[in-house]
Amino acid sequence: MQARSKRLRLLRRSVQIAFLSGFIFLAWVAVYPPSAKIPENLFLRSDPLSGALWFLSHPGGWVLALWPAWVILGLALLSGRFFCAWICPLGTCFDLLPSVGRSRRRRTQPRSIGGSRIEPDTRRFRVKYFLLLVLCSALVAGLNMAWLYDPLVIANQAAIFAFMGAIPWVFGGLAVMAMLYRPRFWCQELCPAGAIQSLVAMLGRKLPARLSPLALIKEDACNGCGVCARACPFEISDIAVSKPGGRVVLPDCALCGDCAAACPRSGTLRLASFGKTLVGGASGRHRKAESLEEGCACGN
Amino acid sequence: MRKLALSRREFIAGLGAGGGTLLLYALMGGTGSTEALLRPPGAQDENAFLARCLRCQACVRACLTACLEPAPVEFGASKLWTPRFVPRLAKCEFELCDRACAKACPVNALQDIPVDRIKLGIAQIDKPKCLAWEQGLLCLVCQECCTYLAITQDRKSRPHVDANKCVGCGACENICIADSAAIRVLSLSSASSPPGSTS
Repeated sequence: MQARSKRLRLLRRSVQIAFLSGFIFLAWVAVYPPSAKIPENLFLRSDPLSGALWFLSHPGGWVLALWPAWVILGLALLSGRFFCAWICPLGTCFDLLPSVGRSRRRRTQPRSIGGSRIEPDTRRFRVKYFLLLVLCSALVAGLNMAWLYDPLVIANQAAIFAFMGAIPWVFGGLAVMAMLYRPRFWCQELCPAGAIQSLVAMLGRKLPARLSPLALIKEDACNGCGVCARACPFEISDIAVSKPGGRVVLPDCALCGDCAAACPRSGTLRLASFGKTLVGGASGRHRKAESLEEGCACGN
Repeated sequence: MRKLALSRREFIAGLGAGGGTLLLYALMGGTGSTEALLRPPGAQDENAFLARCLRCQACVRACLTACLEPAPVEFGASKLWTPRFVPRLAKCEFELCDRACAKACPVNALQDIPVDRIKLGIAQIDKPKCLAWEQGLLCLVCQECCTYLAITQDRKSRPHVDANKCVGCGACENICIADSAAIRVLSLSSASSPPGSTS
């Protein structure tokens, strides 16, 4: 693994652990008396799923209380489901869990790499939209299944059950699946909150990269080697075959930047914030050879 | 770029699965105890509450007296882990705690309603268990602890509940010295049609 890849991993883990600690702290201090200074249910109110679905069960008065969720959804318009890779406490737990038995290698490998066509098997990633539909139709009929499907509710339940000495069954089951099967299986295949953000991300796919807090930018220099697809912890092979020449918007991409860090050709794939490169770009091994192409990279 | 839209077949299957889940819930809900649960203050209508409550346990965590517990599976799948007020755990101190549970609720499933409109349930005396009613003992612990003066005594020193004054705070059920409380707070819906009308 290259140095920049390690640096990025360290950065992302630090951000994730900071948010997870914040989450556990807020759950811990959410006892009587309610604090006037600490927003104790901030994480629950920033849940994009309840933000998007709340109006289905609440006829009115839902706009103001859930402003953090609207912020997250607004950012998802520009940056896709970055929440999943950087903030979500449930996703962080899955990333930190050790694997048991089976290798942590993903199953969704590109069928072939190196110039030829790559046909990823990501059809099962569509289950989460299906689940979102189930959740919506149940909610319209007056039944809230967030306790089973909503990542922040599951995480909050788990924290509070653990404080009470009870067993958080939903979280425990998902954690076991993450350890035995694949770490991010929940996020990619089932999570309806991820599905909402994916849908919102597709709405904003035409927006330019310089407006985006986190964007994946692919230049024309890509030779289709497929290293990016193998590096992806979210198992998205499409990154290797997506059209180069600007911002790459993939519905399932969580903007973790591992692909950009792994890309062997500099100036090809990079993670940028408002057009400014965070990872990738000119710092690779092939710096000298690619420096000409680097000059015309957009917004940099 | 990969296509994202669900096909018509998948869309209809999604709606079908939603309906199927509902049906399953209804069936499983029917297998659970039909006893209406006591809810924290500010939960207005049971059906609206079930649609809104995320089961996130924020109210259970926030409660001053720890009088709430996540409803166990015995009450049916549709009510699993919803907050349940259990007076035997503690009294609900909604006047003291400034509705900490409603303030903790992220989606206003519990609303912060004025204190004078809060009525969690109505206490009812289970006379066969009551020491005063059944054994003629001089026990008026429930009357002594009632801060709403909703429990009165008759000439034989037996307690009676004034359903209009009672707010269902659970102090009486919490303190009742019988092994299983002889005075119990019943939810408003089940108190209106009691099996054996008491008090």
